[in-house]
Amino acid sequence: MDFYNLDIQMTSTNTLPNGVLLQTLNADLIHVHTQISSAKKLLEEMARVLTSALDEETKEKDIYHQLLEREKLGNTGVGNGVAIPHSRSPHAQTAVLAIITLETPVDYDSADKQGVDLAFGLLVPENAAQEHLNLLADIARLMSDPSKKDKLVKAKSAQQVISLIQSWSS
Amino acid sequence: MKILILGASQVGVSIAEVLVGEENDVTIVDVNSDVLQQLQNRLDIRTVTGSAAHPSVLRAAGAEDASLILAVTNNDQVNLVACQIAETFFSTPTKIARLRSKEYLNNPELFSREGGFSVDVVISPEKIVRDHITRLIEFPGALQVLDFADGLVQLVGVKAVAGGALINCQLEELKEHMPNTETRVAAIYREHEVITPKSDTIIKEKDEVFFVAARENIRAVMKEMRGQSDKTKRIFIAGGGNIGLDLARELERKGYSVKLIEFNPKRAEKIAEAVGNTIVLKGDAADAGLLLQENIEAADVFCAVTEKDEINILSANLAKQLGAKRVMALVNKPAYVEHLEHRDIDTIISPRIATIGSVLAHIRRGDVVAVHSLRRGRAEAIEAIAHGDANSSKVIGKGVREIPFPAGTGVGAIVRDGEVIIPNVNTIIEPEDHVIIFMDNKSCIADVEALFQVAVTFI
Repeated sequence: MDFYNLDIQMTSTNTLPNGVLLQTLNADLIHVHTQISSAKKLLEEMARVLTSALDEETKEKDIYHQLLEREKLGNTGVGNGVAIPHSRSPHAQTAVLAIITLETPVDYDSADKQGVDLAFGLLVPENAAQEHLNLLADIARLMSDPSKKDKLVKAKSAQQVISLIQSWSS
Repeated sequence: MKILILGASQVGVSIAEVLVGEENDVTIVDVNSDVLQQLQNRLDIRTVTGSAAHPSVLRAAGAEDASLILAVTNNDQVNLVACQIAETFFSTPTKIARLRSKEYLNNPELFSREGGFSVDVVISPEKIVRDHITRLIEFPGALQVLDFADGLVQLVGVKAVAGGALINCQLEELKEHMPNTETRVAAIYREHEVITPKSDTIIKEKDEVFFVAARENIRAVMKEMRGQSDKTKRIFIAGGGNIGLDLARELERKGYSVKLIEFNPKRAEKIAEAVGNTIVLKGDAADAGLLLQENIEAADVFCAVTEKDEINILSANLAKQLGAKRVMALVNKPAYVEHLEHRDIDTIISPRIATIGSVLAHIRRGDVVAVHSLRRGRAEAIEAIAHGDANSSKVIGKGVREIPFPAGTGVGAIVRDGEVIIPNVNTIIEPEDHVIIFMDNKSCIADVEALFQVAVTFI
């Protein structure tokens, strides 16, 4: 875990995780034990899953490029095998959250050099507010606990992923 | 990062060497399996034999997973097609193509987002080399002149000579010497050893001093380091290939008087038609008789840019002996470059070193917009843009002194809204600042990159 990031998360929310995370979870956007061979493929797959929740005109490629652009400014690999690729998007009316777990970790160029096998993909509206920032911070904080992260990676279904996150917020 | 290099050309191989050294996962594609075999014995890379312009070959080379494709075969068309395939079949995030022909270079609409070839970055080593030489000629006495922020800021390497007003002065006195000229000394090399500049560091004769300043101030600083300001008027160019011809046209346009020597009579005639005031001479650039007859002793600069390293080295040496003030030689072979430094030739121009930065800018993490490799790749200077705010950035809202830059790195300049700022330790970095950083040791790069990456909470 990047201590610097941790610092910010500590100051950004009070409860963990807040209701926004639970509200944003959508079983259709949670894919477990996928076969993905690289960071690049992971972003493509994430764009595909996120796009499936947007209106029909939205092009997968546009979402992919939005994720790439953000990644260029700073790697979203937070360490401990977790990445949180995200972006503002004119295509997102509300926050859209997808979760992908990977059968085999991929090199994500994270600061701790650990391969990523759990990715949270997040799109927020162009005028993203504090609650979106908190959502990101909640995910990062939740996943800074290695045992919780391991449980999510091992989850066998989308429903199980949701149940786990629900259990941590009660 | 997974990187696919198409073409085991000189540029391709030297970039591969740098990238492998930085822990990237590199695959090289070439039609020549012997060349690939040799490379594989030497470098930790994967190789695939075949045409880079074929989807099946790119797929076999792992294009599905590659974050960057570098198309640097010797064939422009192959490079263009390879990038197009990479986009169509593999949605490759970054596609860089090396192009030579002006038919492509002069028609940027070919690469427009709508309907053009899917090339994100076009690099033209010949143009890079031409611009590199032109900048050196414009600043007589400079060992190196590198552009940042589209040329607003330059990093210049210069040899301090006796008579320069700054010699034997402490760096903190710089300001007194030049009250109206803002500059920052980024590094000093003394007998090949780097000295990290401090306020009490004294510049000595023969030091190689690298300083950063706004372009309009470069001349003033150089004068302080070198005493008399040198003037350049008469230039000899040896070799009328693409680089030689382009260089002649560029220099004559800027008002220099140019003589160009070309060995091949037919080529010489063709060049003579393509230039304006340049005098085209048919003959051997390493022929002392010819050089003397053409008053080489009056030449301010002799620049050898033929296709052959050996001729460039030989003729540059000869020109120096015959009295040319400053001689430069284009040298491709890495071993030669290594051996020739600090010999009679004032400046060795290595196309691969000059070119590599334009590729590295796309590999560096964070929003790095310019990279220049220095000291044969041991040092590096970068221009990075600070994004985010005081919460999401490790540099914004902080004074330069507060930022935990690794030892051996320093902020040379900041460009804010087009204005050049030479920072002091208290200068605060603001969002969207372009920050120019010098690193005397490449091992600091990862730490500097980390400083300029926004935190994960940045949306």
